[in-house]
Amino acid sequence: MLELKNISKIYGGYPALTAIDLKIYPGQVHGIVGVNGSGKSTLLNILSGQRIISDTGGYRGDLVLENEPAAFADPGQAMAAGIGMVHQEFALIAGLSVSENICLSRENIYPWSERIFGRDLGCINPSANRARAVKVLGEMGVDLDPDILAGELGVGAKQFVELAREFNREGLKFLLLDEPTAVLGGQDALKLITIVKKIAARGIGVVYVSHRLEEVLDCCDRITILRNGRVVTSLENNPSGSPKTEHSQINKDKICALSHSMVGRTVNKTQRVETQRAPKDSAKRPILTLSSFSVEKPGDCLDSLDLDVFPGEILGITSLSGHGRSSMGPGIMGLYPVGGKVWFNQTPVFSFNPSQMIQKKIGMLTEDRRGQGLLLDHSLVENMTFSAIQAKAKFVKKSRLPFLRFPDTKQCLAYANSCQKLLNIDCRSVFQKAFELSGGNQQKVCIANALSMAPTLLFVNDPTRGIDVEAKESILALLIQAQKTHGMTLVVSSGEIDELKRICDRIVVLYQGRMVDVLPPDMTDADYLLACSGISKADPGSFA
Amino acid sequence: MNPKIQIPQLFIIGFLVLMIGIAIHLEIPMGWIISDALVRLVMNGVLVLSLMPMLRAGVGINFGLPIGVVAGLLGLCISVNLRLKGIMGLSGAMVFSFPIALVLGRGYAAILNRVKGREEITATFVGFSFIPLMNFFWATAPFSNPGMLWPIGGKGLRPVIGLKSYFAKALNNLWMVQVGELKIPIGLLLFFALLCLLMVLFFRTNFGRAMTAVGENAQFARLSGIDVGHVRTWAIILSTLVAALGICVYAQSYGFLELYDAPLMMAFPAASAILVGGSCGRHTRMGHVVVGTFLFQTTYLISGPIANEMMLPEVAEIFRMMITNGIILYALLYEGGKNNGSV
Amino acid sequence: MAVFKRVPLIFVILCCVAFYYADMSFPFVLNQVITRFIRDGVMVLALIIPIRAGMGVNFSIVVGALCAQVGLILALDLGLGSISGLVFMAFTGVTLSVIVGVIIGLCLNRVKNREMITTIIIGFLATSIYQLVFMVGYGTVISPSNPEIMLSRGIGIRNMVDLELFRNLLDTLWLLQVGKIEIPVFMILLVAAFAVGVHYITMTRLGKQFTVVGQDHEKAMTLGINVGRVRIKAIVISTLIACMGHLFYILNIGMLNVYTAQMNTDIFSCAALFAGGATLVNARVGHAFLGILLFHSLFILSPQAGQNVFGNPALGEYFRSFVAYGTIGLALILNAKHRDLGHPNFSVSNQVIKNKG
Repeated sequence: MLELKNISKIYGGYPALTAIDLKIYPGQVHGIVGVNGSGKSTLLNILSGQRIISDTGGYRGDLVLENEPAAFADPGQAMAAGIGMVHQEFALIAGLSVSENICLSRENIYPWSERIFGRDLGCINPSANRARAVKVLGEMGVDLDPDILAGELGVGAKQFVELAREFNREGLKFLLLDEPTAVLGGQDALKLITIVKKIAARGIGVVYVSHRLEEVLDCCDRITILRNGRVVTSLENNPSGSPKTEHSQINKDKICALSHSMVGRTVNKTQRVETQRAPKDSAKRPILTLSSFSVEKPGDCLDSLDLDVFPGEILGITSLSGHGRSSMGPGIMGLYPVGGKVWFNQTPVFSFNPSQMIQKKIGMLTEDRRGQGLLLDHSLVENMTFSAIQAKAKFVKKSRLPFLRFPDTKQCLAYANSCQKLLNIDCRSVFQKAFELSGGNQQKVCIANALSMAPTLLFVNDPTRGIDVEAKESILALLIQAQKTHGMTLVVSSGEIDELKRICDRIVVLYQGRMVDVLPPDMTDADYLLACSGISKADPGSFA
Repeated sequence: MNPKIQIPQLFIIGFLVLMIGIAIHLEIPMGWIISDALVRLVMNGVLVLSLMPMLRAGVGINFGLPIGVVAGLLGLCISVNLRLKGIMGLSGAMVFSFPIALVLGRGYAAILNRVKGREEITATFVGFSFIPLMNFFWATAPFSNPGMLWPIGGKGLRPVIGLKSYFAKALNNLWMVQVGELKIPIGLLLFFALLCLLMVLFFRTNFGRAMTAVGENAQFARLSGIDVGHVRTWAIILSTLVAALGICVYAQSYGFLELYDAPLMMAFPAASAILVGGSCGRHTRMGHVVVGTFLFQTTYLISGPIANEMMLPEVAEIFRMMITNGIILYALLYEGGKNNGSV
Repeated sequence: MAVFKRVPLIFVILCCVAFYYADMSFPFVLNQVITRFIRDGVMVLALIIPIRAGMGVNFSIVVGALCAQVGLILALDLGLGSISGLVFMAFTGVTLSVIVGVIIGLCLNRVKNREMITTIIIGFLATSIYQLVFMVGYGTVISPSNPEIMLSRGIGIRNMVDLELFRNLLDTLWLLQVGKIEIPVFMILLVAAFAVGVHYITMTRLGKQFTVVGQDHEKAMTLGINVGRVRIKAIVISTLIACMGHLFYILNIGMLNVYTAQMNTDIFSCAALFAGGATLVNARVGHAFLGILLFHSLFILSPQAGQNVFGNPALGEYFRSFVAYGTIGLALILNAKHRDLGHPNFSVSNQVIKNKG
């Protein structure tokens, strides 16, 4: 039995987990569900001894593994103690074959070589490894060529190889699965659940973390719901015999109940800063039209989206992370390869690159402020005016020589000062370096930079990520203000459904890169949660 | 970025003080040291300056400096072949080397833009392999001035061409002022100051700012509509151009034109000098160039006579090599350690 | 990848052209190639493991070479001859190279992704420290016990040290004469033994760890492999092999050029490896052997060919330096492209779209 006693973990001053008590029994599948940021990943990281835990100050509380206290400083120790983990991002080595991956660091070696040179310099016996891999794959019921390179496998197959690797380990007592079906299609997901049950039947305790509630109901013996780093409830569940059961009404009710406890009591903050805008004028021509638009952003793809964006609206895009919500803006700006057709103001767009988009008055606020949105070592003035100077030749002194154009410092300063007042940026002076500001103020600087180019269409990605509560409110207010005063069209993508609901006219929900539904902002959180796990309101039986 | 003095600077300053102490003890005239230090500052300073655009654009240390140097050498050869003399000869060399550096820099940039993230090692080998390629050219080049060709056979350029009858010290002796023991090469210093000023001005222009931004955050620059590849290309071309100027200044100051394998290792002392000045990747300022070159070249300068006095002339050269490479290694390890810490 | 297989082919063509123009007898060339093979073969093998461990070309094999030279000079200084001297120098060299190997490994763990340029600089730095010790330290700080190896001024080792104590100790062992071709069977077996050793390491658990770390050290870490330690092991093994390789090289020549013998060993070994078709991510023993044959054939032939075609032997010299540096440069340029495309995330995302589409 793996027992967690009073486990707490603090990341940079914020509690990620608070007083978690859990018991994981051998031979049972223990489901853990919760929304983004509820602490599921942190929990798994502690159990599997990931470095990030000890690097950020460790955790409090005790782990008890089979009545013995345990603590893992690195993944190797956790593995030695019999805890295996299947990672969300595959930990497969692309250049090794399936069988090599399955047997990795547990290779069969020729006994004679071990006797002469020791374990590390023992000669690997490839045919024994292959045989073992075949056996394991056979037991799992997966049909895979063990000699194919792992890099050439599809995502589904990769997930099975990961499972096989853990399955292959002798002395495996507990297996941690982090969103194992996140990248799998329907059939593969069912297959995986069967395998998980098989593993549990061998007396191995499985921790199954997932967003997909219906799967959790299908395969878990026990379900724990996390919210804000605390255990909300832990309930028994009787996995219905075959996972293929239709989504009966009972199941649906259960899912609804679960999703309600995941979300918790709805906190009513200032609902809708703006009164409901006039319903969309259907005669209005769309400012942006997407037709089977796809974006290949690694780890966050968008797949054949058909959408009209109307001038003056605030459109929200949401999905679980990794399901495509953050790729539309970067795709239009040309940061990733795109497919499909795009019309902007009824004119087709053929080439996608930032400078052309800026000329067309399309802008983007990136979610990765430090990585893409700011020159951290430069002053706020430069950060606020840089893009306009470069792309629009605004704030530039007149000069005949194209190479010798100097920025007009007076104009820049005037703009920066006005922005500082307007956006209420908290800084000592506008000459302060960007890296010294807090996240919220950095975001405002990014907004100032975006506004300096006077876009008519602005993509905003996760505008409130990594920002404290107060600043969040003012950022949201700013976005609405920008929309109102400049008549701008905003496309806001965020995982914070609550926030989207407060500012958007309508919200697109994506699942696995595809559009599930376009919902009005007054739907309940539970409805959104269902849509995020791929169940459309219009078609309650569907399962992507 | 931060003005904090780091180990290389401390080390080199301590070393310099020690050597000046020894020099005074050995009664090496101070006037000579100071005037020579000034000359050496400019002589090598332009080459060091040439590293700056690439560093700021985030391309890394230009270990492919020999490419710019070769462009300059070609310009110098053309000038000598035309028997241009004095300042005319020197400016002629600079003008001739300009288009050559432009073309070579463009090709060099095309290579480096293919190997993003591994520019330094690639640049090193592009530079290394360019030297023997040029040796082909030097050995067969159709120059006609007999002063440049092998005395026997009259084919192919000599490895060392004396510039005495052309433009040796043309810039060194321009407006030379004698103050007591001190000789101050005003013209030379002004020329260097002008170049530095131009470089500073360049980084204030729109394009110069774009270059800095590309070095600091290429994604941000791209989202601001900047063509990152284009900017990097120009940074590399600019570095090559200044390097060509640098070797012209160097050669006139040295009084000889060194061809064939001479430019092979030129990148390393220059890189070391800029690192001593406190440059750290893209955080490179004009002050780093000037201070670094001065400190580094002055230790170079004083170590020679001291070693001679000690009857061990090789020691100076070995020490120079040790300092050069030790500083580069320190910079690599220091920066690497910082990156690992933040990730 | 496919592009890169052309490199050996280019070398074959160049060799044929050079052979045609050089007008040298085949047995002579073959003898020369065999000599080069036993001199440089082990050195090239030293590069294989760091490449497999994802650290690129280890240009600091120069440091391994210096270790061998230190061992040799110490043996001479102590007046040890024959087999006892051989054992002594091997032992000293190996000990030293393990120590410096660990130090280099620690350095390289700080500079992930910039290993190659760092190893070059480490090589330069080690060379100057070595020169300082033997050119200045000897006779001032260290007092020599064998005055014969000293310069006449009393400070510093002589530029050229004769190794008559060890001459023909190994390379004439089991010498086989086939027509005009001499085959030093023992030495060839020795090189082959090293090759087998390196190949064996790649087949062991340790070798698998090298591969895993080389492919993706982030994932290796999550799989519980101590990446730092594995990388240090790779460098230690490489330095050690380089030390042994350089020892064979010097013994075969029979003279030690104290201050210049180690020069360019790294460049030539690396060029030879790439000439054999190795890449920055994949190197095998086969590449090393093929590369040595091709590269050194060209090396032997090009000055003579240059003389015959252009009437200037220097042109052939330039050509071969260009080939040495150029091969490495080309390998760096071609490999960079390959790595970008091979980014794991990209293939994943493509798969997602295909699966659903």
